Amino acid sequence: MAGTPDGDQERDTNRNETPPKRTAIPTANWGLAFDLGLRLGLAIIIGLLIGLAIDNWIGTSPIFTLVGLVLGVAAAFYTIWDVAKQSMNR
Amino acid sequence: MLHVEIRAEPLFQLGPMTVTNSMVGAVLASILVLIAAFVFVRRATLLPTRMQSLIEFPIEWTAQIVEANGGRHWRSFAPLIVAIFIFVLLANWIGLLPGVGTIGYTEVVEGHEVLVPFVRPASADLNFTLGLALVSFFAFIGLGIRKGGVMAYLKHTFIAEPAYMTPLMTPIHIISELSRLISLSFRLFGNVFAGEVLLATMLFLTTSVVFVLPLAFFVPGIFLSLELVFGFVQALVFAFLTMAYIVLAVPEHDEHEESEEHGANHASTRSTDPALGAA
Repeated sequence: MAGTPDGDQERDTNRNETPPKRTAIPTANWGLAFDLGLRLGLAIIIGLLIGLAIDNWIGTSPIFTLVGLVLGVAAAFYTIWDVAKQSMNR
Repeated sequence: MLHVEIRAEPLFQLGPMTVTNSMVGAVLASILVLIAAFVFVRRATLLPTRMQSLIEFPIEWTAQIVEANGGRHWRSFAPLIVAIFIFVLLANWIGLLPGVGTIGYTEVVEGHEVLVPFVRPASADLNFTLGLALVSFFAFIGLGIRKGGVMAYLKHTFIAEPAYMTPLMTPIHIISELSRLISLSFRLFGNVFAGEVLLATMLFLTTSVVFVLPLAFFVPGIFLSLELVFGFVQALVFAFLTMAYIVLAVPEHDEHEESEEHGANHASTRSTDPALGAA
């Protein structure tokens, strides 16, 4: 327990030297990076499924399936770009 | 015979609503949170007792992370993140209690007798995780709208930077937004459900296929402790991702304002900590 005041003092010094906004970035970005891998695959699957659903509905197979697939792949790349851009802006 | 059911099994009918065993799990988790809140808010003292510190620790810890990451508006969404973290944590860990998934009634399905447990961990049901992901989805959309205005949000979502790119970019943007919702819900469901299946398989292998007494205790024990860690990590990931989405959705103000606000924050940082603990 003798070390507690020193520890508190050290924590205060840290807070004064480093703005909370800066210390925070790694945790938020860590979460986003964790999420990104899954979102890449999901974007392609969602695009493909929407395309398949439209084709089944209107009966234009395979036009919208292909369009959906291309849009899904584009959305996957857009996701990377979007997350990177927003993270760097902060 | 080992039986794995991917959907939650219906237990009984309550009016027009079918009550499933995962709903029982969700209600149990809610009751635990409510009882803890009720007891400890009533008995809370400024100088915390050992039990109070134990309850306050996860709340304070999560809130400190939100404070460090959340930027200027962290107070507006800190309660949501802390609530999501604690609720998901309990919903995950309920599956590890003795009796959950093992006590139930037997039913004959396709000639086989199968056990329908009375309680199933809520997060091992896609309905629960999707519902929670929707809460988080609408929270970051709502907070983004509240801070930036409806028109700014709609413009940002549906109109691309060069306006002629809108027909191409809008579907791409919508698919990208949908992937957040699905990744949040499927990750939690997949991890907790896989954990449940793993535990059931290990228990089945060590008791029904090869029965060696030390193994029957030791092997499921290892996986139980692993599930304890996974349950914690998944609750953390769900809560932090909600936070990260909200932080990205809520527009920040210019640097000048930030440094002024920051200076004011320094003076009040120490005094806000006890208030956090009591919350």
